[in-house]
Amino acid sequence: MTQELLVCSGLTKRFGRKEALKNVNLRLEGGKIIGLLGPNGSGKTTFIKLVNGLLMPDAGSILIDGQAPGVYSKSIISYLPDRMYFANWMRVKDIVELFHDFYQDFSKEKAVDMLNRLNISLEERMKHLSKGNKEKVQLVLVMSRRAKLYLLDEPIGGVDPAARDFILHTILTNYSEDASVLISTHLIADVEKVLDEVIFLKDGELVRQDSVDHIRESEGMSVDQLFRSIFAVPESGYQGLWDGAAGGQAGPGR
Amino acid sequence: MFRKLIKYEWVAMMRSMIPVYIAMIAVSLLNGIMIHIGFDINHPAYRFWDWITTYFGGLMAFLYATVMMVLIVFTCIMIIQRFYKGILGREGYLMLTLPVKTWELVFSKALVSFFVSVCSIIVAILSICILGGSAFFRVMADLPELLKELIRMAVEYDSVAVLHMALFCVELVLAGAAGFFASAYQAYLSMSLGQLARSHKVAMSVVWYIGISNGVGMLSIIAMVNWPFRLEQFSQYTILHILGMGMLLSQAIPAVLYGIGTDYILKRKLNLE
Repeated sequence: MTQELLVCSGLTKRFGRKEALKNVNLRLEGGKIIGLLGPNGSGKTTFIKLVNGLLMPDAGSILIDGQAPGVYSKSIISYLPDRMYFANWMRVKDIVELFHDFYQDFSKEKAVDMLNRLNISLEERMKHLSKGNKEKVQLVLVMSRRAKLYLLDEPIGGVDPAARDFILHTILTNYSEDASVLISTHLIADVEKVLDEVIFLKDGELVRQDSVDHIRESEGMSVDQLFRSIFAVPESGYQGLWDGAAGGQAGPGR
Repeated sequence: MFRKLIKYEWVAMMRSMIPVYIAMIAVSLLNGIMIHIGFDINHPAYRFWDWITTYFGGLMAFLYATVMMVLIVFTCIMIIQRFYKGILGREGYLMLTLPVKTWELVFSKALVSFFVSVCSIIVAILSICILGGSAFFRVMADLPELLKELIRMAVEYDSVAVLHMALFCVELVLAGAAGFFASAYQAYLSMSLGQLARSHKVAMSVVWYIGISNGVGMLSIIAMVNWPFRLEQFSQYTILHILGMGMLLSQAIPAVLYGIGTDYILKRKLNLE
């Protein structure tokens, strides 16, 4: 029987009147790379924060390896947020030491080796690194853990195609075999080739959870194509914009 | 894990505080030199030194007052900032996903803040000693011996009173420490409550702080007005300890309640957007 790493039941989160997540029910098994897909504002980051315990649900429950979010779940989840979370005054070696001190599953040797191969000095302060290198440091640290569940929030958002390849390669070559990797993104074409399973979120609702192979067989289309069909903006939604621009002095090149 | 949290918090705090401490001591030394070095009117350096002290004496005194203010204000700002940025800000994404208990995270910040405040007080006292010059240090060096002698004489006169006074001093020191933790945790609770707001989180934290202060102030007045005991019925030593323990408990109880409240919000209502 496959171990269920993550079980969410009736998960709901509201921000004021807006429901960011609506009654989400899902189960994730170990040993898979799963894409958490949806356009901006669909609830991907909210979902990941809830699993991490950075937000509290208004209704429903989350179980990670059989336990509610807490000290144990934090010890088995390796989380890459969608922003930099290190203090700028810290040196790279300080952050490596911090991970080494707090995470028993962290491999310092692996992290140092990857940083060396990226030509990122351990003595460098975070504030002196470029945005891309900061993101790489964060990814290296997250992927140097032998976690059970990796939660990667937009790991390839805002980076150039070469960096995307590096990030995907790092993820693929470093996660432990029995672990699951949940990658949140809206850049489907770039990640599709590495995914085993996908979860589609639309306006806070889980609209589909399926294996990539099954989607290709049953729908006769790629995940990217399915994504575009599910999340297509109706033509009426943007036609007026072009018409409006054309009515002015000079519309965008049509 | 708690020791590791303390280590990281201490490093984060001290990297900001040490330059202020160095500035404080340096300005005190300069002022001390201005105050204590003088030349005979016939000395060749007299006129030059007189010119220096006339023109720069006022400036140095102003600088000393400014650095002393910075020391006090900066210590307070750092205590607040380490919690706000370190837990409720961007760094919270790291700190709150570490496999540690929330109360450990918060207590490590409060404990380090306490020791940093103690360091700031020591630096402030040291700077005043430097202004006092070598004579001041000589007095300070003799102080332990003087105190020993004073205690010996007091014990000979009334050993029971000395024992009670010593106990009262311990109660006062503990009350002071508890008072620090009550203040720090009140700020932490206010910031935690402030982050629950959808917008204007800093302003809401200030509103909560004022609200809690007023609420506790009112409760204290009600408690004092309805004090059930008549102090005359107790011995003078008992009154002394009622006073000491009263001060200690009046700080320790709010500190614990603020701590429980902060922990509850961070565990159950966290809203890290």
